[in-house]
Amino acid sequence: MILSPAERAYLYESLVQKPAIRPGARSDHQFRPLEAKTGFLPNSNGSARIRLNDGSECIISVKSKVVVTRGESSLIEVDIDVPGFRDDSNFVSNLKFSLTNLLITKFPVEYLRLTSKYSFKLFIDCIVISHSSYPLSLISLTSYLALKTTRLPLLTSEVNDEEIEEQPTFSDDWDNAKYIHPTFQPPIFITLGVIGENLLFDPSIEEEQVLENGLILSFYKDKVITPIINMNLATNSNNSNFKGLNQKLIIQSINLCNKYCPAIIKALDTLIEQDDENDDTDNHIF
Amino acid sequence: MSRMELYSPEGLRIDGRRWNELRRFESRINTHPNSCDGSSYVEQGNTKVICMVQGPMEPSSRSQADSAGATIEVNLSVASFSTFERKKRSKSEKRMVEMKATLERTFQQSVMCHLYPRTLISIDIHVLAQDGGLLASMANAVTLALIDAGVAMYDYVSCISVGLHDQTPLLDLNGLEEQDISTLTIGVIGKTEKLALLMLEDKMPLDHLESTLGIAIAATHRIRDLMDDEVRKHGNLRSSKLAKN
Amino acid sequence: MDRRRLLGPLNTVIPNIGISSEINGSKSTPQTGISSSSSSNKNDIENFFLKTGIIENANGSAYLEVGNNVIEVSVFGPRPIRGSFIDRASFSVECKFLPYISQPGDELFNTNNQFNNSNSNTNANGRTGLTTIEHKISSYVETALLPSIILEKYPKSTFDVFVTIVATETPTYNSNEKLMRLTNWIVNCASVALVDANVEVKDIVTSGIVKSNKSGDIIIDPRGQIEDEQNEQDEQDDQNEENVLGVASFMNLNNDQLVGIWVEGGDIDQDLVTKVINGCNDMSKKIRANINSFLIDSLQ
Repeated sequence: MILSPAERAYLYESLVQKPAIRPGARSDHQFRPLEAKTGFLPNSNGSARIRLNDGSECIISVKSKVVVTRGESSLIEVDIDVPGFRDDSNFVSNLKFSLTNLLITKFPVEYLRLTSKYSFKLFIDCIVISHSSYPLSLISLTSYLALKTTRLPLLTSEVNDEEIEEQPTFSDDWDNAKYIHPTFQPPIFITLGVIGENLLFDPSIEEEQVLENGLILSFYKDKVITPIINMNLATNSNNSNFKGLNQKLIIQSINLCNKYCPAIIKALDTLIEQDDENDDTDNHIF
Repeated sequence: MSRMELYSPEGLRIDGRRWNELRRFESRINTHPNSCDGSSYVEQGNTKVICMVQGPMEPSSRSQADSAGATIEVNLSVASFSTFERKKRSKSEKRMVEMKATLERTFQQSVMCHLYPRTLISIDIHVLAQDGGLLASMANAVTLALIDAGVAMYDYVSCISVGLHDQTPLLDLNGLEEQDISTLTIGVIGKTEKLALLMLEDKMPLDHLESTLGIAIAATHRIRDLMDDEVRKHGNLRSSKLAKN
Repeated sequence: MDRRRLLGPLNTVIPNIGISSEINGSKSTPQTGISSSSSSNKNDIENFFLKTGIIENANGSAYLEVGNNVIEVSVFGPRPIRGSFIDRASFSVECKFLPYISQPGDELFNTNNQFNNSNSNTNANGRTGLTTIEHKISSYVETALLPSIILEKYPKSTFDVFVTIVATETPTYNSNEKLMRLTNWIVNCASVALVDANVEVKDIVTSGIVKSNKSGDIIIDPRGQIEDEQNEQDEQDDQNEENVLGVASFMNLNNDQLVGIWVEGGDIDQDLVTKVINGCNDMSKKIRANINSFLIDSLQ
């Protein structure tokens, strides 16, 4: 929803308070409530869907393919589709760059190695069905769920095939399929809004319109990692409050993420566990 | 691979159905209450389609405003993971453009467009998985989403695909059958025998057309009932909530 | 090493004949600035060549050479917009590599190029769209420059900044480093172009780049080759993963306000980020001093 100048001024004033008064009575480190579902696409190795309470929704499928390791520049390919935006638009390209960059640099590729010659290549396809606020953290949380629940078929042929001219063979039984790695936690992105001295986690569309700046941090293995970038989260550059930020806030944002993000990861993991329990009875997406 | 036996002498198809049996049909409406005006989800066998309707609303460009009635716009997106082999699809693919145009034409006539002059009804369709009968599932999903959006329609548009194997019509083809048999997709208005949609991408002998259409129309009536059940179920759920308040 | 042409020695020293101050851009021809730092100290900034007003039909333009990077920026605006009223100008940056240049990280991000070129990437005018990497640079530059421009002064108008990368360094080192180094200099060049276009700005945005080595020390303005020579062996083992790279852009206003930050690479903590930001700030200050004197000079 586009706010009027009066609404903007009101919202700005309440958000710069210490502590910030956020719409929806959220505290500044609180995410919006979300509902999620995993493993609903039988044709994919992993799938997940997250929906936020404002109607934003993202569906991700992870498909795998056996490739010759030497012939590939990377074992992960990310594609993002946002209806209403062209695939080569700045908006989609930047989302794609961020997610690809994070996964390529941080994903432990050795988990995908099959034999000395062959590997799995993962194709991560994201569809942002609808979105209001900047969807990067939504996409990355969904990709967390999808990658975490991705199951790859069990290799039955020899691991060392240096001398053998054979392609790898797999177990026919899908029950033998394995998760990428039992303790693997994919990296995620966290969006933070900067307003006055406050840092707001997961800003909503209304908040984005009055923010002074936006920060995107990545989080992996219980700590903040690179990339760290700043950007204007409101898609139209006509955000009149947009300005530079105080250097101290960067440090503060890292501390805040280190403090609160483990809870997010834990929540997502619990979600997967619960989904696993219901799995036999309910394979529907909705 | 050698030619599969699509229809065994005992009268069974590859997935074990008989010639006149439909696949599992499941639908939900109002699946996305917060992001659009009307939404639905349809599963026909392994084909899965999400549909979302926005509108009637003011069109963003003046060229879309028709003073005689609403303009219906369909946006089709087929996920690259929807088939077994992943394949990136472009929106300008000929088959997609044709399906989009077919759906637009069908619903332009089935919606009471004259009630909404100068407005736009925008329909977004996401195909998550496809296994035959794509156009039929999409049209069924659009019907349900339009009902959920409260857009006035003359009646349900229910769709089904039907193929002709030798002399036997086969109902609701799956992906494997669709590759080898010529397929006809029809959309019927309500419980009548009026066709709102008919699409045949290859050829079909004229002398068998009537029997094929006959069984297909009967099937669409069944689909209509299944969709009606879902709509009523959802309606009851909503009205029960109203009564409490 | 490019063997096709005669490049001269890598650490070229430009003789500072007759120039006493640190900032020597001012004494050369009015349109030309050459940065200081002739000594080969590690933390000095590479010499750069800057020239403005090279494109006649643009409102402002700047040309920058640093190392083997050649960047050209033209600014169009304020231009009137069509359609509805807006009370502040809109601002956009478009960054393009000349077609024959290999883009850093090409193989990772532009994998479906063939597909794009034949279909969606070419629009009706026959112009090809930007690649993912070009989009990334464009949005960093846009984010960094946006806070500096006084957009309120220009209702109903638009500013368009077009960046052309004419040449880049030979890809002897890490593609991320090449990309970020390029981005860093594009920001510097674009701010000068904005001034040349007489756009009202709050301050000039300048930017710096640093790299950390394994011991957590910061190298200001890394030039790839220095590092590569030292630990060529190590790099093959861990592919530079330990090194943190950071680009940050600043305005002098409000205690060196940070307008753009982009940190990539290995693990980080509070201390390292502080060091990265401070390092970038130091470098951006040196560049700012150069650009300032260059601008003052070109006025005279």
